[in-house]
Amino acid sequence: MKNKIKYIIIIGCGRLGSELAKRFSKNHNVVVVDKSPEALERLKKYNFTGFSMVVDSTDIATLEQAKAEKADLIYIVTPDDNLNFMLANACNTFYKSKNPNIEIIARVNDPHKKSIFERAGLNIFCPIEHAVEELFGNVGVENEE
Amino acid sequence: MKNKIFYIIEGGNIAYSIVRNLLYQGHNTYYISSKEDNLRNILSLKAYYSNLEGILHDPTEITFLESLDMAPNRVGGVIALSNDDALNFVISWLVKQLYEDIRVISLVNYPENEKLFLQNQIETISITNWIEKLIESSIEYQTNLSFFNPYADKLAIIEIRIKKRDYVANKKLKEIHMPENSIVSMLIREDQIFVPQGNTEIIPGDKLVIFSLKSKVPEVKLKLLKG
Repeated sequence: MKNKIKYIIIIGCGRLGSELAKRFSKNHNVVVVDKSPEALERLKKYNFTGFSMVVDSTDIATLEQAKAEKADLIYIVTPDDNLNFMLANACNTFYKSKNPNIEIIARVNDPHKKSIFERAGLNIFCPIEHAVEELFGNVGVENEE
Repeated sequence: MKNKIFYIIEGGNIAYSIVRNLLYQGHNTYYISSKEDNLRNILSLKAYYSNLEGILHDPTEITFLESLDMAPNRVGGVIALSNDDALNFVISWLVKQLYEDIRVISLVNYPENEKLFLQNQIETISITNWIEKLIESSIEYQTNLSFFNPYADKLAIIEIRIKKRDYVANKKLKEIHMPENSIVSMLIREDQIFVPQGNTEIIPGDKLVIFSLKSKVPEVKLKLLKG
């Protein structure tokens, strides 16, 4: 099972999205979606071998166009928390019911917004919180205070 | 409707005219926005209406929404009107989570997003859909009376729900003698819609759709309710 090729959708092609795309495209089928063609340009530098789509991601039709119902993993990593919430919610509402194996992970940019995502039972990833925890865990820094 | 509290969240011009309308009808209205410009613009209505309050705050913050402490018997509705569907969705979804029985209405800018709102028991206003339907119906039926014509400002369409004590309750349409230049054009009973005939009896709970000249509206209302 471990080596099974997965279908992964990445919505938002910023630094995080493009980095994820680069890693995953080596062993999996990856589709990257962003509303700006310039953002998808990043992928060219990386010898990215998957697909990229320019789609207006403010619209949940994005998910349909990317064939979300067939996905194994969907990463929603745009810089807009509200959008991430809406798209993750739409994935849960419309696709998870048809295909319970889809794993959906949404990025939370503003740690204050985390509780909204948690309320909806969404899987989240909060880069700032991770960074803070890592730095705070560094005892050297704490002792200097 | 008795005077209620309405919360209008975000939005520019549409919010302005909805707020003005609600205030005019005597409702207490709160406008909440994180944008100072929008807030300033809407608060200019305070010169004419004292029942308006403005709050400058991020409307997606849970603790803030909780602090509004909305009671279903006092609150008429929460209406999210920003031009960002995702923002409207987060607000509407949160209000539904925190206050189950409060009516939540949201503007939906991209028609594709509408089904997600409806799935979450959020009522929607979609301007794109409205315009689409208007254009569709005027093409389909080749009607002269389109909504974009000069008669529209003289013609009124009134919808009235009939209650037990109203004059027309349990009367046949032909017994009513509607005022000149008005006509009962549709009757909505439960989920059925039909065009009533003279022998159709109107029963409490029915909704009547009446076409009339605008100048006749008060007369029509008086006739239906008091006879």
